[in-house]
Amino acid sequence: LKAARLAPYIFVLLWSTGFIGAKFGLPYADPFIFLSLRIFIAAVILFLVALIVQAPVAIGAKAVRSSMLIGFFLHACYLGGVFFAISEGLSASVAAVVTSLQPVLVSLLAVRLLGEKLKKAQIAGLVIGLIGVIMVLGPTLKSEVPITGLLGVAVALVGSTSATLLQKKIGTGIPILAGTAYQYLASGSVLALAAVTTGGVTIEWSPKFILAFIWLIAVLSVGAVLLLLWLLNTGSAATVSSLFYLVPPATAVEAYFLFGEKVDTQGLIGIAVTALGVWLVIRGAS
Amino acid sequence: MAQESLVSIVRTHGGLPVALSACAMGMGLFIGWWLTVIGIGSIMISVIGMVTEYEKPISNSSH
Repeated sequence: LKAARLAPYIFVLLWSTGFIGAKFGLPYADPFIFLSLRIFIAAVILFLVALIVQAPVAIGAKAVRSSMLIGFFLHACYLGGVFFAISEGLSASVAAVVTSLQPVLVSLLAVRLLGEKLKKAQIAGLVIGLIGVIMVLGPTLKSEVPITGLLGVAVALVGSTSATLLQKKIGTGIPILAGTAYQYLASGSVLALAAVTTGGVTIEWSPKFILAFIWLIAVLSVGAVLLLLWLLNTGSAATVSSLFYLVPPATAVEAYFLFGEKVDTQGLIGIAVTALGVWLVIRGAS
Repeated sequence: MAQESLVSIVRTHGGLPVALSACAMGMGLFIGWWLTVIGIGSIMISVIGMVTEYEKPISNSSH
């Protein structure tokens, strides 16, 4: 087994810890300033690493523009939308279910915009995966749904779908370190503007917040995002997107080990159904 | 070599360091926070190494 084949599953593992990190960090900081600062620091790290490893930094005006556009959708719209929705009172599970529509949207649009072909087994996998996610999160879907929160999560859905398709369409040839750093510069600026506009610029530098902050920068903004872009550069948009189905089940398992949040029988069946769906999509692509 | 960095070293080993780093991070939750800290550092380096594996470094030489 080639170790790089584990990359999709490592990506799911890393990405899913973002919800845990956000849960630890959000009580101590306003969402937009939290995201903005995290993203700016990640940009500095990536520029420094690019210089150290002699990867390209001056990537040309066109690549910078493309990166900034992808970054705007992926980090400002998706992350900003999810954080805003949760801060407006939308439950994390409702946000997760709505954003889980992303693989379906990406797959349908990828057929039209990128010329990707979907086999019947992959279409079945996408539907089964979505059913699995709803089964995992079903018991937690009893909370109220504020309109502003729903708008936020809708922006997140459009953002992640657009970013995935754009990365595949115009981002694959861009050097990954500098490209991601420029993505962060653009989205960090937008999020900083959102923070100033909404007046939410408070951060309480508690030890718990600092730990969550370091985790989110190192594991999410550097590790998981680079893996996501790399997977998109090397695989199909539909296959990579299907991995997002595995995120809610992975978060549920992590929450069980970290917080003792129990997964009921329906949740366990949902995890198995989701895994089956993703397996069908990935197997169909190979 | 002076220009050889940790990232350059893990580049040549593809996904294996990433997998090992993720294992260290996960096991750290059961064994101790120190292992998680090592895992976080190594996951950053190994992921950067893996994704830049096929990117050519900029040549400094003028000939």
